[in-house]
Amino acid sequence: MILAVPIDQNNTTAAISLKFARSPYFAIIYTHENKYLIVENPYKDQKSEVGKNIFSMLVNDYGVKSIIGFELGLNVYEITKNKQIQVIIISKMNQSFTQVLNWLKVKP
Amino acid sequence: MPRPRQESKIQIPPRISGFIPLGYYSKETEPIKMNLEEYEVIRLLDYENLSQEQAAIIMEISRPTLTRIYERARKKIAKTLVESHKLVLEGGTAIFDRGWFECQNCKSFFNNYSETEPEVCPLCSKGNIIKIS
Repeated sequence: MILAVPIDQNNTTAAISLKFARSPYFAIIYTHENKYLIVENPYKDQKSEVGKNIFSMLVNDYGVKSIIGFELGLNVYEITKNKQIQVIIISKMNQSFTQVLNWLKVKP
Repeated sequence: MPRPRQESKIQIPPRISGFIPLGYYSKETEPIKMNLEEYEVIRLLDYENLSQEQAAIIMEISRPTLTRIYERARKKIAKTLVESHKLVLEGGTAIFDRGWFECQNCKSFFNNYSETEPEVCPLCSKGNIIKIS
């Protein structure tokens, strides 16, 4: 499984970003390979079509099939439906990226 | 005989079951009950800034029905704030977008597009999941 997680810093102590598309960084987690990488969001300050562009990047460049988030905007949710991307909504605000890695059994 | 109420669609379930007021004047009386379709109308109109026409299409109800739900929801919010009541989110004639599940272990919600139903949570891999739509 390849998942994308919006995070607020470029390290494992980061928290899950409250907003998905404008998150400053994304962690791409490859659960079968037990690894992850962190990429900067080049579209975070773009005025429009942020969701569309970030999903093009996550899906086409990194093969993301699932996303984890705390809050999804309507546009982002519609894109996930159109692209059949699984959505996982975490229930606790400011959950740490490390906790997500622990849940997925990926070494930080 | 009253007409049966339309079933409206909500996209993502709320993550909490209600709100509790803080302070000396908060009331221990009966909480205000806001149903899920009222919550969803507030989310779409006041949080996502959609028009009533757009929100009605998403919820698959008529615009007049949406307007009635919106008015009811705003009155409940006003009463909650001004009279310091608890607010509980529950009930209603809403259905979620299809294929949503809740994990009882990590408390996450997730959807599923595959033909077969998931046996474990995709986040924590535990099997303690319930189907909510």
